[in-house]
Amino acid sequence: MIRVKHRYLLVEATSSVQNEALLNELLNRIGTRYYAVNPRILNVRGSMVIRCSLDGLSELIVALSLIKSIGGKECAFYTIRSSGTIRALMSK
Amino acid sequence: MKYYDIVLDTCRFDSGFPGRLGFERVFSIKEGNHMLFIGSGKAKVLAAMQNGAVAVAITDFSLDKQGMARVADNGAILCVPVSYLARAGGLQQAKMLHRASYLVKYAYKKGIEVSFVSLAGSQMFMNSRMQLIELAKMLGTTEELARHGVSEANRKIIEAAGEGK
Repeated sequence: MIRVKHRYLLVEATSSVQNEALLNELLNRIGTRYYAVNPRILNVRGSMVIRCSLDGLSELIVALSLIKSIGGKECAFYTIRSSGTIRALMSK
Repeated sequence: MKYYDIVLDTCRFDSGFPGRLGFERVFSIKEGNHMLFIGSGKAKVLAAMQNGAVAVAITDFSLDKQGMARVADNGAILCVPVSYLARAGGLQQAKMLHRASYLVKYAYKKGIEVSFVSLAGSQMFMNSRMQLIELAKMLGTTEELARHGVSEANRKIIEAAGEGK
């Protein structure tokens, strides 16, 4: 079985949003490629971390850049850095 | 490599914010600064070039070949204001992204230097270094050109405009 490589993305948000609402917004923006990007939202030591496939990293970053509101509520996302492991992501 | 961003002077943020976004510095610039033309329209672009603007940020991303020829002749920089892409939504945003992509590719073909800036009026519309580079790559640049567009090209504009904070 082929192992899917992942990337972890440290994200800063201007306001708190529900994970499901953000994933819905990403689904709207990425479209059918959503299942290839496969984003998963994690909470690591109080920070928002999004796990995605290595191939879908660029698409995820662009989609997050263009999100300015979710469900009528203003919200922006800044991608701080990415890494292959959570440990490296949080230690940088 | 050091990265820089340019925002409008109405944009407010705390001092540690640019560092978190991966920038060496974020410069603020007045909208009416004659060195950086922000707007659209063939006549306005030509007038800005005549007034010695070092960079043009075309806010509707429409391609005017005469204007771009003047930009190339003057050795000016084409700014891509990412916040204007983010402000639009839905189909309008898709159209703007397509126009921006076409404009960027045309600029590179004509030998015009391209820079990628957020040009945000508020903190909401600012972007991190990673986001600017990925957006630049999506618009049709290479990794190397994208990094140059967020670092050296932006520094040149600020040095010419002589503003910052």
